[in-house]
Amino acid sequence: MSAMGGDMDMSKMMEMLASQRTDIKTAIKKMLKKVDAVTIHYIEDCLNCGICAPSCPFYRAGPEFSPVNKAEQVRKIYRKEMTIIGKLLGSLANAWEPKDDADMKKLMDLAYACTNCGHCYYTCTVGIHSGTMVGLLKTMLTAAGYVPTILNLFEAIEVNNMHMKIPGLAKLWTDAIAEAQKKYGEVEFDKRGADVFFMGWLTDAFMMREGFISTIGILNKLKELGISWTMWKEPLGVRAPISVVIGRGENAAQVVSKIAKYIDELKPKYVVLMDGGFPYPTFRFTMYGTIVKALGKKPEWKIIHITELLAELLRAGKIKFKKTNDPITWHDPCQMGRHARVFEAPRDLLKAASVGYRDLPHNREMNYCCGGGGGIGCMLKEVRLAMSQVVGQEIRISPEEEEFERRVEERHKVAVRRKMEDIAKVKPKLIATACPACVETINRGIKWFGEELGIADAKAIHISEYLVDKLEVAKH
Amino acid sequence: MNVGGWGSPNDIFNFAVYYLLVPSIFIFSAGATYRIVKLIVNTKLPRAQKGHNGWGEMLKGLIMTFLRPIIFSAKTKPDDFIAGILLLHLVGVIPVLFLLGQHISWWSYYFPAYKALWIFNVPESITTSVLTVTSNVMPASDMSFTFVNTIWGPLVVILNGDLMSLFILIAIGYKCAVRLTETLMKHNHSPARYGDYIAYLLLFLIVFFGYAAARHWPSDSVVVYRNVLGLHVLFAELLLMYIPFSKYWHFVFGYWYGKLHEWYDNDIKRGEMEVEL
Repeated sequence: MSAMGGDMDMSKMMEMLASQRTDIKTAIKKMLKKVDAVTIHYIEDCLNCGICAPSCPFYRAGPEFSPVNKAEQVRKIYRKEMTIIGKLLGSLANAWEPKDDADMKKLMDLAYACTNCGHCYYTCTVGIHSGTMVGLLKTMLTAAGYVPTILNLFEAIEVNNMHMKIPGLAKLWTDAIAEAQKKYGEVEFDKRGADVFFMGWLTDAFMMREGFISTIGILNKLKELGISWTMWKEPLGVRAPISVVIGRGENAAQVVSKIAKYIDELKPKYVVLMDGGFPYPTFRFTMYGTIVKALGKKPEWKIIHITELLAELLRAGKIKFKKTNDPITWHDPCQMGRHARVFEAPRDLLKAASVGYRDLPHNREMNYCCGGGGGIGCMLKEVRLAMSQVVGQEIRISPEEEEFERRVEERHKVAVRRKMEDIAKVKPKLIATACPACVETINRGIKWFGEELGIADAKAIHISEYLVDKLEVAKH
Repeated sequence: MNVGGWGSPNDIFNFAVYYLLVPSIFIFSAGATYRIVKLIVNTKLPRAQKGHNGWGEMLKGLIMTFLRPIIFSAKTKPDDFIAGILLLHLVGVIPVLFLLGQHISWWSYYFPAYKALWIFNVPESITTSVLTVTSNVMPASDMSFTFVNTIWGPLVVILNGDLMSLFILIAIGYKCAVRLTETLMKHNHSPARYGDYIAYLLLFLIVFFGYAAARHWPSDSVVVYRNVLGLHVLFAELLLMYIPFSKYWHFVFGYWYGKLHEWYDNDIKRGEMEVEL
């Protein structure tokens, strides 16, 4: 048995992943199959005005990383494959398609310089979501085997439901649960008919450990209001569905369907997430149709974020918070903010808990992305080495991929710095947020730039961590 | 195709007005139909767990959907805002095309209800604009329309065909120069598309010949005037045919579809959930 656990070791896993590759032509066809009316608009109606450019966190790393330039790669392929003029005139009609390894590697650099933060969608003059276009690009790249090893590996772990079979990963979950129970009381697992099902991910337990434990603490306190809750003893995903990050839709559908059926068996009223990253809009919007299809009906449960639940209870006067004067701010995770438009709930809670709450200069729709989403925050050398320790086996990559990893990190730093400069204008001590990538990235940014920008003593935390001890349940 | 059965293509004006108009409308319509049908055929209606948004929020969202890129552009790329949005669109193509006196006449000929917009008409030249401010001369004859006494008042010093045409020409020149420089220096933040230059060139020619015709340039000869005006109309018809196959589609459909879709997607579909516990 390998250190990773089960009968699967790293080399076998990598072999299995490599076997899923197709040739470039087939990968292109797979990408173009996803084109629908809305993506036709995204492809055909771009004015090339470039107004979107300054919204992108990676634009500062070079003009080639502007949203319109990245999305243009899909447009070029579409013109070559789907238009008569593109087939006839080729590059004269700005039609092109990747032919070899070198072309695909160039596209990798562009695809992994996008966090799908959605800022360019809001600033586009004609409403084009370039992140969706980059998602299409990733579909093609991944299908042809061009995918960062660490993301590919964790996707395979999740799709094959192996995460709890890897001792290092399983321990992170069980230890966090044990600590939560020790601190905040018993947790009832897999209970049918509870009001709330807490859909906590493995990443919540190790990337936002205190937030995870605090969320359990909050839910246990809410029992005093007669709100019953439950969670899974073992999570059905690392951070499901990871597959969407690399554009492998069929695997994402498989994982989401499995989770939906599991939840439906338990019949909760609400499915509560503490993760405000991509799982939230994925379950509520982009893959809601998959849930309906898997269940054969519209689910009777609603997907909400922990802040939506608490904000509603606050508005109804059922809970309140001990007031402090902490200089705290809220960083809108792009997925929960721009992609789901949950803007006010977390702010209402933080304002109720601290008179020192201040918004960042760029907030809500115009919030600056931290630069760590879209898998980018996981593709750094330090993360790969840390994850190697967790899984108990070195996650090896080729020298060429190491070079790619270095370039990703270089651009990531540029993107992170923009966020840090925005935070430095407010100089909070605490930056509350709700996405593990944001927590990790902002804390990394403080490590990198905190001293220089005068925010070395600031810290990013999950909002639950801040609220748990201040939460008071109204006595009736 | 000889519309109305009179005239012959003995000059560019006759050719453009009486022969090319119907074919250009036909090609435009066929192209537009193709593009809209393609969207309809590929439409999917994704399911979602919709947010709970009030009417006020949705209305604010609609307004901001249109305003946000303009504000963002003014803050982050002021040169692009001035050239692309302000000069080219807001005080350029849009008022010239829809509100210039000659164009209101043209629109009213085909769509009589358009006459209602005469009150907003902008005069042709800076000279007539100055008269509006200094003398506010009413037409001496018993005309059905007054040409310079419009709602704009002294603003016609800016809002006149002459100046707005120059705004458009300057904006096109600026956009092309920036794009060319960026491309040559391999520092372009938006892709170098050849189609953009065709689009700019067509618009430049339309505006240039329109301006020249209005000024009876290069000579007072009727023959020259008819050919220059004919070129203005001819290039406008070429642009009309080019619209469904180019970025100009935004003007007819793409912009409106895109913004309304964005509004639906962000301000109607998404949003916080209603929780009842």
